[in-house]
Amino acid sequence: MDTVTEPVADEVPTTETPRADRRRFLALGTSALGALAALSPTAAVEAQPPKVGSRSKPVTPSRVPGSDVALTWQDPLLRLVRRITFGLNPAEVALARQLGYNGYLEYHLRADQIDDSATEAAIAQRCPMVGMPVATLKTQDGNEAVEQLTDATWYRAAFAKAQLRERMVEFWSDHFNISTNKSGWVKILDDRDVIRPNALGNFFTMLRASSQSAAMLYYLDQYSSRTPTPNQNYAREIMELHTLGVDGGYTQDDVAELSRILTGYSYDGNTYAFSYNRTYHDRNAKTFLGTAFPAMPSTATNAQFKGEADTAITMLLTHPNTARFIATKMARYLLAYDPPTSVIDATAAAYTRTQGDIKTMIRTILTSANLSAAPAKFKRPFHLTVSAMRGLGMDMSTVNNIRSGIKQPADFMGQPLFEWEQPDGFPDRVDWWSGLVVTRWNFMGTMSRLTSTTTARFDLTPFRVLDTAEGVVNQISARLFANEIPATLKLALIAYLKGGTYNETRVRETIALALSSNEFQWF
Amino acid sequence: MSHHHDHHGCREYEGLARRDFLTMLGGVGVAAFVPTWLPQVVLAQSANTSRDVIVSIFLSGGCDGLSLVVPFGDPDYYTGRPNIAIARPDAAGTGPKVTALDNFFGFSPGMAPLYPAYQAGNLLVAHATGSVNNSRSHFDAQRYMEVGKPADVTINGGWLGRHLAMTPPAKADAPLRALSYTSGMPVTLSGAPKALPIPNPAGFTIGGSGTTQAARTAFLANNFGIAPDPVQSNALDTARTISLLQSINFNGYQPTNGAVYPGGGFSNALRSTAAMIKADVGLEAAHIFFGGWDTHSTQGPIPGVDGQYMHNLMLQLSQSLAAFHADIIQGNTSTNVTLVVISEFGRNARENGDKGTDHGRGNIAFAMGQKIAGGKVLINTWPGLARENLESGQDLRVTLDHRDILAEIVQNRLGNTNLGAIFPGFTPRFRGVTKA
Repeated sequence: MDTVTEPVADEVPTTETPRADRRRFLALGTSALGALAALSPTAAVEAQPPKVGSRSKPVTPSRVPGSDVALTWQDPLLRLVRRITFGLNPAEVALARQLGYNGYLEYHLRADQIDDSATEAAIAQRCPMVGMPVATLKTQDGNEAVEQLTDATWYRAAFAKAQLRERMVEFWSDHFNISTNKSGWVKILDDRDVIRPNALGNFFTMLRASSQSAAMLYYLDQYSSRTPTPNQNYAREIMELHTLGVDGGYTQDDVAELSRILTGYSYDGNTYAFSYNRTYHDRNAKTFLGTAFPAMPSTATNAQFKGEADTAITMLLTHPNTARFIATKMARYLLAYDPPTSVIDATAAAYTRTQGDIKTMIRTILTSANLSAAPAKFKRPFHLTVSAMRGLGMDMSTVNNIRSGIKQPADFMGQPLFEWEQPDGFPDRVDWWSGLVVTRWNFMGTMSRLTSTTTARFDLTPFRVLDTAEGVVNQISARLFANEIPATLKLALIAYLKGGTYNETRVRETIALALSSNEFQWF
Repeated sequence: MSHHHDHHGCREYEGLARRDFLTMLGGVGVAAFVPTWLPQVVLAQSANTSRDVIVSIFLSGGCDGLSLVVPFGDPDYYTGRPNIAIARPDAAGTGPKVTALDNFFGFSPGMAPLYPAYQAGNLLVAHATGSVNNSRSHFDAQRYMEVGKPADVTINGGWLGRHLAMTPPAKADAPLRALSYTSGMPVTLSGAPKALPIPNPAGFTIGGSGTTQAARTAFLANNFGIAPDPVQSNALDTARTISLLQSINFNGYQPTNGAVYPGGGFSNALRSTAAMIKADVGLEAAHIFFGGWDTHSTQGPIPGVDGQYMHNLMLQLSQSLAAFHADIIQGNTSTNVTLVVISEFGRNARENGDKGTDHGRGNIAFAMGQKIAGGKVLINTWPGLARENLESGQDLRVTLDHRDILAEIVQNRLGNTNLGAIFPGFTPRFRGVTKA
């Protein structure tokens, strides 16, 4: 963990510096710089599509005002399925219909009672490092460990029955963003000790766990911060990004003072457990958010030194601006980009009343009335891909190696898990993601053509039970859209299917068009 | 925009454009060969050549300007940075030293490859510049710079996006006026018509069977014709941009004037931009994020010391910019290009306990072009690095609003005099960034 940051541009073509090479670079350190620089553009791993000799004129339809896809969604129950899962499929829709709106939501909120043992057993076999004790894990290939963490995250998002937990794991992984390009395999500990156990639990517990997570303390440079020259990185971000929000009422002085209060927060380099380093701590008097922290004698105990940080963190957790910031962000993620003030108010009140109970906040946000009024949200690349996997009926038996079959090509859409470098997490904004039209279209095409029994396979059989154009499109409608699909799209798909020789290739192309369609991009 | 130009219907113009292009190259103007990367298509409309293509580079993470352009004339630079300062140009010994730009400022060894551009008078270096807003949050500071007005969350779009939105296209039929080498659209270009995030122009096309490519593109263009914006406009422009970029052989692009792009993401983005500029496809703006500058610990700006992390990063920057200078700017009087480099903030004047630097304020900026009044270090006043002169006791003060630099370029090189709309509420002061 010596190299601090990625040496190449963070936003310039990922296609030309494939992940594996970037990680290898980090593992090798600076000696690999030359090798990286030598990567020529022609070494791009992205397959070049066949060039066509003569191209038809591109179609340029005239602009018409667009409309919210959610206007075609009549059933509040299906809206709930779209929001609390990573995508519709027949089994999920049947479950929702059986349990009803509240029963279905409660089923997913009680994720601990959902039996995912079969999926977890298969994941444990494919991604054993994710479950290893630290002593064993630290002897493993760190790059492979990170790959296994992302593999496992993909498998769980796609195939775990406890879908709402996976949705909230995604949310909190962004909220407490840690880039594995800096943290390395230690992020595994954060994922299994901080994010997953608390994703549907209590925010106070999760934030405190995060503040003592080796991966976080390393990622935001807290572990080595010491008096008299403390590092302000974590002190700033715990306020700006994790609790109060950027306009949450703190000053640069508060950042400096909190960085002094937090000195001593570190981890054991052997066990990666939290450890308090008293020699780093600044025991002089401080003032944080208007509260005085008196000077402490050198004879004070570790617990007394650390008590200052405990007090400061509790001040942050119980601050009304934190309630509002977390409520707004959760409502934006679960409900709408611009959630109604009334929903934010009620959710913030729930946060304060319950001392950060996440389930209560979710219940407050996801009422049938709120969801029925909510516009659609645009799927981010990970969400899009997982929803396609689910709609196409993939499972642990047809996806044998998600890494090379799906994850690595999907990363070209710009959302490689745990590789967002900055601590604010992947953007939750339509304008950030909606320019990715071509990469989305292309990857949906790739998904439709997956036929490998060793990596990933899309079994067409259920789509061809009635092996006609209309039969296939009816299956597309049912499986990908729970039949909430505009008639015009169904007709267009049928027309495309009939526009050429009816065969497997044409059927797969039609499914790719459905996955690429505007209607499939929203949830 | 319903008219679509037939790409294969104007051989005469295509030939003419190629001759113009070859003439532009000077020395090879009469060469018999046609470069293999030349586009198969050329748009029919004549270009508005009165304004420059702008290449906007954002060094994200907050680059340590005091390491890029060292104020070796300020003794407090050395006292505040016992481990990471770079030795004066006249220091004894053979160790790494600053390359003097004048009698006060100089390039660190990592920036030295850019010295020829400075010597040629095409590179302007600005110092103690940045945003007047004192946010040390990456995200706020960057957003305010990209928006063009600090501390205002009500403004939509970015400064470059607004410029493009209020300016007719340089080529009326160009489907791609601006691109960003990102997966998503950055704020800087937000609001620009015909602008797309394109991480890799060479790979921008619809995959799958070639025989059904056109039909599938048509299906999707039609389907997305009812999508809400910004999805709809992105999709429609995308369909046309595919045709355009497919016609450029990026991988075969040959830089001129001995330019060598060093490789790596940032370099490749500049190289692709050079190809599009020379292919004359109507591109007006390119935006590149180059990250990795958030050097809180073990900064390593000195070659051979502490892993030289930042030295390597500066080399990526300077070698890539030097290649772009040689390829596109030096000796090129007919291709009008201006390049600007900014970052969200500088870093603390003094190093921290980890041989790194925390978020600060005043920073460097660069501008490069034929019509940039280069070969000098532009400052308003040098605030000094003595503790009593630092902002919050920590940071180099900002004495030169970076928008002064951008605004002068927008007016004099991009031909847009409506600066009040681009930088709302700001009255810029022109400081001799450009020349006639």
